[in-house]
Amino acid sequence: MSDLEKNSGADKYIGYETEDSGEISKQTSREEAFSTIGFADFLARYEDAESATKDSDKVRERFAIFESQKKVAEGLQVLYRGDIKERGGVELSHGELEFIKKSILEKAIRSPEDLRIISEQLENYQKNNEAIARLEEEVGGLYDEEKVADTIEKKKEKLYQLKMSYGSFLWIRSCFSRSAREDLKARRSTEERIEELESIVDQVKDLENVADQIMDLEIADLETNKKEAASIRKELVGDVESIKLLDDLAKKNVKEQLADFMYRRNGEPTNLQKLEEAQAFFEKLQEIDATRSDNPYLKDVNIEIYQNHLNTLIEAAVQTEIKKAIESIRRRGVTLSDIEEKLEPFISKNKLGTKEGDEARQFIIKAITEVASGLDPKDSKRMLISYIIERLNS
Amino acid sequence: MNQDLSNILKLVEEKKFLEAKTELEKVLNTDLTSEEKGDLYIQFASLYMEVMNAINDKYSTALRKVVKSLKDVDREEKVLDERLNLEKVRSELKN
Repeated sequence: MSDLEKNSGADKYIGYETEDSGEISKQTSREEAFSTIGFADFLARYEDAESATKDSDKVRERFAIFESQKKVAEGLQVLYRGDIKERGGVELSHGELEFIKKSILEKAIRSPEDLRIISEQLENYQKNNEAIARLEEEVGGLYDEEKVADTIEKKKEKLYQLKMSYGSFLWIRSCFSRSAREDLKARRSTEERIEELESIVDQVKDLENVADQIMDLEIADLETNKKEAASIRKELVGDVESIKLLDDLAKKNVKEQLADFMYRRNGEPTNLQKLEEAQAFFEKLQEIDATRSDNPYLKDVNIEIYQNHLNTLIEAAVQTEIKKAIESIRRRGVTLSDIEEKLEPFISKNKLGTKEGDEARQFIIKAITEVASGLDPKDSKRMLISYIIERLNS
Repeated sequence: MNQDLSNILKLVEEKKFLEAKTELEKVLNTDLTSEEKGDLYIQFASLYMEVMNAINDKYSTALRKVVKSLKDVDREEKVLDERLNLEKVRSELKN
């Protein structure tokens, strides 16, 4: 473990892997933490959520608490569904088990020390059960109840034969027969309990695996559709649309054509996609005019005024659409990838009106920053956006 | 609620699980919020684990003793076998 990780205090939480086999302590970065469903909401519950987002040590420590509380909640639910139900006769409904989950989450934030104590109890309980299972297997591997009874009888017989010569060994027979019977009786009931508990845990694991598989499939489908749609759109914009537009141009006045791109019938500006098409169209016309001495398309157009106007509309549309994109993200359970997916179409732009490269990028970052500053400071989306901005600026 | 919990703890410590359950149900039937219920379940589980950990510690110690005593008996049996065989040989030689 690095000094940084030691100092973060993350290793004191049970369920947070710190041994050689564990990967979290070595690899957990804010990126991974923020990509974990529920973590951003969890972090947002802290009073100093906004500043903590920028502090790697705090993020790491709270991620450890977050992971630990998940394991504890799951462990307690398993305990209630298995051992407590079987031995204590206390059976909780699904809804009641959910109360445990919520209370553990609350405890993790308000009193992490209590969470640590319960984690240790749970870990000891699990380790004890595992140790007992191993020992019982060892006892069972040597003898089963019938075999033991049979063996005892044979031993008795043999020992009786030897009694006269080796009377001092008689104590073994009596000690063995009494203690072995008692202990094997205890073993049988415990074995049954453990088997049932293991079966429940297996069932839960199976359900979780199926849920993960479904989730993976859905994500894979979304990714494929997104890529296909982007590719088709590129073709349309790149070839078909430009040809069609130039063809239409022959039949229409250039100013009207530009106005159609820039404004709806009700006088409101069109959306960013349409305005970007207007920009491409405007540049194409200038390109063609530059090759012709008669300036066929833009001879009546004040290029500077149009371009300035178009820039203003494009920049306003970027801000509006970033705001909409962020608002469309669900509030609970949001992860880094949810935000990245929504902002990616904007972040990937290297041209906005006449702004290009870094200038366009800086404008986008500024627009995202402005939209984020309008969000509630406790909104987990704000923290994640702040992290993305920090990453973009680095 | 603390008094109720300490009563439940006492019953769990005495391994009177059914009585502990009845007491727990009584507490749960009072007007509690979902958070209070969640806390109560956690505390009950914590008490349960505390008691069971103590019991299991003793049980594993007992099991270790069983394993050891079974091995001891096997070893002694082997010694007896050897001595018996030796006695048989001696007896045959004498006769």
